[in-house]
Amino acid sequence: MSNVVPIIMSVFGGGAVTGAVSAGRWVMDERARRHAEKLASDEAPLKQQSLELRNAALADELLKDTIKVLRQNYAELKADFAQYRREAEAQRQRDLQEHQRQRQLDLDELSRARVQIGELHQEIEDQNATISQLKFQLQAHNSGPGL
Amino acid sequence: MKHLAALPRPLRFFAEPFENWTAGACLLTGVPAMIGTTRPQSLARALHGFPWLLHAWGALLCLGAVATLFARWRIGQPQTDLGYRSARSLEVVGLVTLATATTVYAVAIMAVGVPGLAAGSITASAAGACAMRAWIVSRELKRERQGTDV
Repeated sequence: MSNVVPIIMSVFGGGAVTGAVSAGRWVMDERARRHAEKLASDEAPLKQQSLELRNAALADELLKDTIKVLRQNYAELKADFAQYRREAEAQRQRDLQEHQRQRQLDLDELSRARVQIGELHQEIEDQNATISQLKFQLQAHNSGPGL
Repeated sequence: MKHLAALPRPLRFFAEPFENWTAGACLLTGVPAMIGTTRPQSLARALHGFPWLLHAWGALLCLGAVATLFARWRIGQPQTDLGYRSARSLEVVGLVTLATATTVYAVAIMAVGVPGLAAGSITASAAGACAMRAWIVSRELKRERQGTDV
């Protein structure tokens, strides 16, 4: 049993050396991990700020483009509307002239119809006068001698 | 890393089940030995006259078990590559410590004589398993470090 102690001590020694080497490597790895995490946490606000600035620049660029397109659209719409107004006014004028011309034609037609009506009335009166004269002559003829 | 990703999160701690159960058993054995309440009779006989070695052995068991369990817990957590490497380095430390402590125990049991050979072989196989696993993880870590350096 007395021979066991040196063996155990040597096992302890070997384990201590191996463990120390392993622990040293673990300490190095842990330091590397913490260093990387610290670096990442230090850079995080800068990265965030950089990202925000880049997003703001992109948003600004988009806004500029949007305003530019809106202005172009507004100018095009304005020109289209002016053209539409001009065309609508011309069409209105043409419709008005056509209406006046048609109205004048109707008035002329009406005047001619009135004249014709007057002539017809005159003719009717003349015919009535002729009829009255013929009636009178017929009466005079019927009441003559020899009957 | 790949076999871990295939496991559900609650089971990742048990990706290497022999380590966890062995470490748990070592912790249960190591705490009483460290504080001096209970100690293996074979080891007490072997280290008769060196009571501080018994406390050191218990402390070694506790240290290795805690390091292994903590490393296995950290390996199961989502983390960076450096964090994963650090956790496996700690796993190597714990396994080496456990291998040392269990080897000491195996020697003490076998020193009892022929009746202790069977029980000692079981403890020795646990020590060998811890040492082999520590060697495998060390090789993987060495390759990774060389790959990173290149």
